[in-house]
Amino acid sequence: MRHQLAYIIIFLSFIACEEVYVARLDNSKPHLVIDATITNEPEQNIVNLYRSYDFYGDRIKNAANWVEGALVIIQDEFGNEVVAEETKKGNYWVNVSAKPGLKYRLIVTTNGETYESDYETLPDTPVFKSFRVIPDTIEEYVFYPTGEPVLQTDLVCRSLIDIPVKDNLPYHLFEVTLVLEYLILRPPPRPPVFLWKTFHDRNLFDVISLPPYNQDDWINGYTLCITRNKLEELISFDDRYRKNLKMVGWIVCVDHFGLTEKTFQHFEVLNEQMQATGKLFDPVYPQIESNIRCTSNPAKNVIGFFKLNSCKKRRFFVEKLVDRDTIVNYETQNYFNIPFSGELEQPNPPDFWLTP
Amino acid sequence: MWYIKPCYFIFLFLIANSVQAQQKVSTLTVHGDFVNISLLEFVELVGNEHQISFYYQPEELESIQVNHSFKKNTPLTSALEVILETSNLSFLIILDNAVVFIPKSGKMDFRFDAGTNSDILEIGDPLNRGRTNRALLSGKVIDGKNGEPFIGAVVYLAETNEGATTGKNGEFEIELPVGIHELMISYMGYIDRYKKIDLIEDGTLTIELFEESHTIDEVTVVGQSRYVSRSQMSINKISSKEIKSLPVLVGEPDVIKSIVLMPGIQSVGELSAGFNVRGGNTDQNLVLMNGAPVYNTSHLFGFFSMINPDAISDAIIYKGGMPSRFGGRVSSVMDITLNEGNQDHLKLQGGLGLINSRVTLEGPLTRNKKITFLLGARSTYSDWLLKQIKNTQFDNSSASFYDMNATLNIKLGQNSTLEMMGYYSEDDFNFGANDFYNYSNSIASINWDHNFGPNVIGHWVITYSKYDFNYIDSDEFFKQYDYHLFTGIENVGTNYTLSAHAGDIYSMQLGGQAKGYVISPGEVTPVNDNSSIVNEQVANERALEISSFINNDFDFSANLTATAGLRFSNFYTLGEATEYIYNENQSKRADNIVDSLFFPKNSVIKRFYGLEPRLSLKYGLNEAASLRWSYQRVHQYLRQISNTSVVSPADYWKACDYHIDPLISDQIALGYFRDFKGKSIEASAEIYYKKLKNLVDYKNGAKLVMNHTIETDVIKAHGYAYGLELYIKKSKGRLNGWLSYTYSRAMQQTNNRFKEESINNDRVYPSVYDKPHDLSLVANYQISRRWRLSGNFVFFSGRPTTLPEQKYRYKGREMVYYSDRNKYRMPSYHRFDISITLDENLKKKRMWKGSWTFSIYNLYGRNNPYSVYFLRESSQNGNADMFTLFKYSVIGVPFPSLTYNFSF
Repeated sequence: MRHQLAYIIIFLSFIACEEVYVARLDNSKPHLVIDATITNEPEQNIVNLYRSYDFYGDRIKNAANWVEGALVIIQDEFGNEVVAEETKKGNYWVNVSAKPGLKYRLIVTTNGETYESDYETLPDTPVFKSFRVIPDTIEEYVFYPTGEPVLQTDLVCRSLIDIPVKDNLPYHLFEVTLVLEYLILRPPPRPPVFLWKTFHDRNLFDVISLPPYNQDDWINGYTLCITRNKLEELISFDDRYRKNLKMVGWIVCVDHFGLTEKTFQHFEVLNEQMQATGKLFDPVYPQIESNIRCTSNPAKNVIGFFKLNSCKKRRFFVEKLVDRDTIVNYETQNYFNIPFSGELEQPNPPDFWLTP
Repeated sequence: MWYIKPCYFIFLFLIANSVQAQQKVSTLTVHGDFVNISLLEFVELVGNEHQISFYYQPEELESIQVNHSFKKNTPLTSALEVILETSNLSFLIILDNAVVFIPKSGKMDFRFDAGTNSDILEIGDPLNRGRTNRALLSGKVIDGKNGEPFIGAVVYLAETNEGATTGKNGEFEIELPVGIHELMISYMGYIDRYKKIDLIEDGTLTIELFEESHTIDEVTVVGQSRYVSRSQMSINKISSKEIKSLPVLVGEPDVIKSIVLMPGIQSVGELSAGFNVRGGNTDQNLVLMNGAPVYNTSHLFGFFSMINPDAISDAIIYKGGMPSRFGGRVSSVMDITLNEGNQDHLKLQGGLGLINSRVTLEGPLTRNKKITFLLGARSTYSDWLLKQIKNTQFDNSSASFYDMNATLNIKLGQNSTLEMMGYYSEDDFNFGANDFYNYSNSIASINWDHNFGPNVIGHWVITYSKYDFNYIDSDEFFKQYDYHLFTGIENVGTNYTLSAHAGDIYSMQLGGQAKGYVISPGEVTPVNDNSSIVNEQVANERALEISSFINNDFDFSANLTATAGLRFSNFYTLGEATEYIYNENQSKRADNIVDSLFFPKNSVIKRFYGLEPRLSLKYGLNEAASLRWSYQRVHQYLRQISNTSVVSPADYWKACDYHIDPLISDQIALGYFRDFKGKSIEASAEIYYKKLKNLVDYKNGAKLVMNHTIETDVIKAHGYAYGLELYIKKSKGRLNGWLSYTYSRAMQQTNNRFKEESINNDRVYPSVYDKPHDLSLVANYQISRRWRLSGNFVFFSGRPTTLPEQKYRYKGREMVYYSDRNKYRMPSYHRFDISITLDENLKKKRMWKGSWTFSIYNLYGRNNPYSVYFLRESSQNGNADMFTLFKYSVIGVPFPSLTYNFSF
């Protein structure tokens, strides 16, 4: 609610002013970042170790600031330990399939310091039901180069689901990847060109729980994603001028995670940080607390979180909107890997390709 | 006009009845009971008895009733002043052997010709000359134009450095040596009067003052009497006239935006409602309106203060050396007195502005003018501003407010006054039809003053104050999840104060206070019938605060005065409530609860109490300079729960409870005060040190709304503040104003067992209100009789802030890691505002009087920082990614406004 309060005086916007501010920040030492996710699906397990960098530091240069050669251990409540394997610089993979209801923790040793997380309990495997697609219209103002605002409407498809939020699994995280499928149709004997492009949502973390003060067991009609239908607005400038382009639809890849309460709160704080506006009534910034501590030197700060999430992968197809009354959509068990983008000129579509 | 006098005299002499004179008017006395007779009969009686001449129009004197008792040796002039006090007539003494009755509106300076040595007014019976060494001079200072009394006017005798300030009804009392004296009578914005008197024995005197120039009628009427001791320091007063003379945003005079120009008082932020006093939080200020507490002081989330400027008589703020009758807030008390209504005639005044308009009607309700009233209202038309913004989010948005205030003042005989005040305000805001905000203030008070005798006054107050905040969360797609959130506080209180004076050397105030509170920290209810929302309520808090106090003022010598006070406050937190017991070896968290205690309704959960000594000393170095020292301890039992850096209407109040202890403040201050040029310039320098115990700060990511265990999200801290305040004010002349500068620091520190209850590893850190440098310059210049120029310049250090020092990539997103809390500071703030006012009309007889004020806020358009923050900038594919620091300015451009003020 406090974030919404930030809009309250927004009608001041025509007299208010926002400008880039260059602060004189002290030089501070980089902190260790531990981004650890352990699930019931071993291929989803990942422990990334790297270091933070100065706020005004070079992002590209510091992106490779990985921490190599660390000892990474996952320990269950019975003391059983699995040592992670460093698959590439700073990326550690743990071959463990966590069991719902059991407790696990993370232990990392690097540069002579030991970092330990709290014990977390793996939630039940998440489910959702009733995937369905409805047409919808989005209205937004766009600004012409002259600065004149024009109201624009966009016909989109809204994919809805129903999510159970029972006592043993009230917290959910969705990571949705959308793959746009489109074709260049050419007269025989030339084969068609199959093109695809991946869209990741890197905005807020899509976490959902029972709305506050609610007594329901289900969240009905939750918007999983919105797929657009104007191909020219989705593809590159060059592609727009290729002849006989035809949009097919969308592959909706869903990684559905069940979260612990602490992990859910962690994502909420991350979201708060990302949507901070800094204007009227914004809360005082919260430092993101970690559930990992440096046990060998308690004064040492560590960033990151040990996330013990149950996981379920699902994949759907949503046709491009042609008829508002019948939007073809279905769930598939086709889990082939999909390259980020590409095009293939061949008679048959690639393995992952889905059609109406 | 100069020709009024001769014309009127000719007229009088031609048609008036007259009685031949034989005696000196100034030596005549009257005594006896004069009941239900007209003034005409009265002058005939007196005239026949003493053979003096009266000149008058019979019909004017017939309409004035005399119902007075005059004790022996009451001077005739004093008796006439009393009789004519509420009438439209005044009188003039000619050659000390004739009395001429004249209308008040037709005279200027007849009664006393200032500065003329020949006009010495004898007070008392000359036959009694030499019988006493000292005599009590009592009287009244009124506006010569409309007869309204002044509160806060100064009656000063330079030769003995003695003086008095007028209080209730403009009345004063001062004990002086008998003999000839020259009194100086002054009131801000009015021409000083110098009056020679020959004080023989106890007597009364009415003094009229006239405006320096004839601008808009200034309404200054009697409010609740407020006793200010002579040793009082750390006090600032701002009058209605001063409030209205300052250039402000959208032309709306504002008491809180005016008071922050005083030393030691800082604005929370541009257009924010709250203010910080000597490094204290906004909830540490007690704002009283005619004695009733105000829990939310803003409209439109800080755009305006909640009090109609036309309704305000004046405001006094105590920053230190707090009188013992005040308590409950550790930083300051802002005591606002509302006008009680014009005594002479109906008067309409108001203002038309860009965003809002206001109107006030006041006047006497009865012919004898013993009952006066004032009705005021304001409303806004800011909705249209939102409609101008081309954004779908604003299509269904609105923002509006209104407020209404009323006062009724009843004179119950000679010794009692009853004053009733009511106030109601409401703000509505909805954003894009999804979020609806509404908050309201309901305030009422009854003040009863009674003089038990010449030296004993009783003052009884009953107050009621209620603040409600409502929020409706509406979802376009999930109507079943719509809910309504309510928070609020309701308070009923009463206090009684008995003031007694023993001459000039000792006075005492004794009293008791009782307040009851019902606080709603949060309640959620469904909005519609199809809702799946369940009712949920954070248990209401009930509390009782009972205090008693004594205040003693001593005049040990001509140079040394002291005030010693003691307050004993008790606070009872009452059930019904469930209090949780936490594992002592772990930080307070919901999962560390080991037990619970249930307290039935109205049972005492916990009692807090404490003695609060108050001591002030004044040592006069000479006639114009003094040193003052004060100490105070104050307990505060209520807090506002908020983790925003500015005041938000969603902040809710919280009483001390099983886990949260009262805030305790000790403050010591020392000041040097000096007047120059016969008090036309006053200057002061004060230093202070304040220690704060049991402050509340918040854990990282604290959830404050609908929190059943708020103690798990708050952190106990301690703090201290110190500062130097310099102030110089010129209150007279065409150019007047003031300059204030404050250097201050406000620091905090945690000292808790557990790391998550620690801030900055328990190192000392600046509070969010720590702004070391604060400078204000206010100047008003009367260009001509009709044109007035005003300007103010403010400068203060940026407030502390927490900035991101590090970045890191996290699950494909860039995140930031913050510095220690409040490690950095925002850029400094400075601003210059200017206004020019044109009075439409200066003719006194013209009923409608208006003025145009054109002002420019932030003249040089500085982008002053409201906040420094980061935003994620959008990358090409629409996904927000990289963080960039930004500075946000609420008013980043020169903001002009035009306001029309009127009175009728």
